[in-house]
Amino acid sequence: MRITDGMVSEASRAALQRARLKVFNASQVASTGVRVEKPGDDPSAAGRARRLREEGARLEATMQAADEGRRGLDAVDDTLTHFSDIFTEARALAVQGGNETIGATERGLIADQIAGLRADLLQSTATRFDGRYILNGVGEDQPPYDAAGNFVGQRALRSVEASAGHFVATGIAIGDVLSPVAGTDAFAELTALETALRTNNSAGIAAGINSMRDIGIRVADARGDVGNRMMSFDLAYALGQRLSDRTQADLTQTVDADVFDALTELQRSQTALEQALSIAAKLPIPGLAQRR
Amino acid sequence: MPTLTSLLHVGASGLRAATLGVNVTSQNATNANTVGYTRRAVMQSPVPGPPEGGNGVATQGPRRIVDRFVERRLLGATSANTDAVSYRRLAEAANFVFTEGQGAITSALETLEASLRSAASEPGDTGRRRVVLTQAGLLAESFRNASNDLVKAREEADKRIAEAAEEVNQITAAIDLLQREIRKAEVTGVEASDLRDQRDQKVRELAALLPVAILDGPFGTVGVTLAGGRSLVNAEGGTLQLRTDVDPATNRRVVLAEVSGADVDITSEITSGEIGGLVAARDGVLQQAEVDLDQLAFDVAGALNAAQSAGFGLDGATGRNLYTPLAGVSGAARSLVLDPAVAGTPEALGFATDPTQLPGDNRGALALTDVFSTAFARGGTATPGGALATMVTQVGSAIQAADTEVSRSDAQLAQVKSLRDSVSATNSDDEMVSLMSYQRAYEASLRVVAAADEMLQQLVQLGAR
Repeated sequence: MRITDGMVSEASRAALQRARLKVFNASQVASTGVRVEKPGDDPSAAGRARRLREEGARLEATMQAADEGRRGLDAVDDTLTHFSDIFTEARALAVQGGNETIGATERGLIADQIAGLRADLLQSTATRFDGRYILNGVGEDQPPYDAAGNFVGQRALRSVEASAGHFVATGIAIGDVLSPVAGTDAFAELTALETALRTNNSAGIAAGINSMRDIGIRVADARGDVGNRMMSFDLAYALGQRLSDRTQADLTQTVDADVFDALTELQRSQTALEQALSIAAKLPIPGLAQRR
Repeated sequence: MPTLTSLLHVGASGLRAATLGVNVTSQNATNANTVGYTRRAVMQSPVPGPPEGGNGVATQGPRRIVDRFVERRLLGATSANTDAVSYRRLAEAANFVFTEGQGAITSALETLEASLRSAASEPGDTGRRRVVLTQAGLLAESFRNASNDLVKAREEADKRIAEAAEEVNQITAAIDLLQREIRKAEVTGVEASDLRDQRDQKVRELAALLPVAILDGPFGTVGVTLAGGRSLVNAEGGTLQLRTDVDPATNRRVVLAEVSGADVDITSEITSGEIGGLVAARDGVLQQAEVDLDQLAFDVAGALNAAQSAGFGLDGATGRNLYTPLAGVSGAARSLVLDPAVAGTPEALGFATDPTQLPGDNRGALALTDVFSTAFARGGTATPGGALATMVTQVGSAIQAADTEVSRSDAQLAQVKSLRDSVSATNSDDEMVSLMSYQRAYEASLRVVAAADEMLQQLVQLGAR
């Protein structure tokens, strides 16, 4: 094929352009560390990365829900522990008050303590966490009991998605523990016990001992349920963390550049550019026009 | 029988031939870098004479050294290359719209879902509700921005198509004018090389805009047609005038030509060149992205509205949409805005399904988050995120195919240009050899003239004695 001056310079120009483009692309990847920025960089990787990012964001959100749920139940559990203590003490006081050896004055003092425990219990049902009444189920903007100890709260609980498709109830409807629909009301029982002590009603005191025990068991059962849900949140969070780590690793592998490969490619393309420049610098190729 | 006088004429013809040769060689050498220049050559042949001797040398030319087949291939390669480049350039708009980053649709969907999940943990928290509204507004804005970007790219393509059509008219007019000059010059039998070069360069400029073919005409002229056969420049004279207009049915600019007094839409005949590439990208990857975006916006808005309107706000009211209901799919992305009933009113978000269980009931919020995991997009086959991922892959594939085509057409164009240059471009070594050769020929002819002159002088001196 006949080679012309124009072909030589055009080939050199094209080689320089190609080399510069390679250097540009390699430096972009090496400096950002990202291989896939736009869909056109690698279509299937870009699509996969989109799905992984969505999955990662969803996992983060569910983990946050699990964490918040867990912390809320922590506060509930602390309060139930206190309730448990109240009913344990109330029962002990009732036993003491049922002793035939003590007099009316002492029974009166025990009755005062029972009244104090009732007041403590009522106040504790209005426990707040993060500005919300945590013992009133979905009715978190008001306490579950009025000043007289009547239940005015909510029995429904809110659930959150702790992991994909797995919902766990947060909070507690204390009404189901202290004032169950089919069962004895704790405040009424404490009031009855106080009255029995003041009137030296042995049968009433004995009934009070049993009811304090039964209510204590209800509180313990509630604690058990809360404990199970806390464990659910913990497990969900741990699973979410593992999945999130794996998703992030997949995403990194999909879109990020291998640093070593990127630097090697940059070095290689820079060398090619230098060679192209060196060859271009040797133009024009000597010809007869220079020799005459 | 040859005479001394005829010998002078023989020498003179050689001088003329050598001078013409040197002139043509100089022209070639000095135009080595002129774009579109075709090297010329002088054909020499002996002038017939009596058997005892000749009558010197006659010259034909100068003529351009051209391979018509390669020239035609160059036109095709040029159109294919500008087609690929303009397609790729325009398709970048779709590439950009689906790039990950702050404010992109991709991240806006995610952050709205995350804000809804956060609000589902504390549905009574006004701060979290406000965040949901903000993210919902940002999602709408990202859809509008993406749609506007695609529409803007489409409008820029239409503008460039209009400009290119006008350029076509200017170039065809210039070709027509040049051909008149060529015809005038070549009627005498001499090739109008410079005019032909200028004409061919114009034809190549035309090929960059749309696919053309050339048919040889009389007296050095050519007919220029669209690749499909419609005449753009008549070899006998006359051009086809193009104009553009917006097709009301598609709202896209089309190329029209006046044929027998009526406008004919010739857009589909422009399958290559810059105009062809712009039309293909505009009506292909960009249009598909617009349609998919509108469909996704419509589907997402509809699903979120259904969940939101079924829920109760903190005020106990229900039946309020999250987004202003969309009239239809077309233009949905561009029209997506928060419904005035909820905009700026976080309490209006329907996070509860039972008004007696406010503020803690979050089942409405859970229904809203469930939208993102439900396959209602793409005809019920994909979640919103899945639909978006599919769109990302589709656009990416189109871009990658366009990149491949640009590389392929670049390589093909370079190869054809090399072939063309190999035949028609100047090689300085060739010209230097020709120059030396013509110089020697001139010297030889000069010697002939000098010898004839000396002989004549001797004859005259003899006669004078």
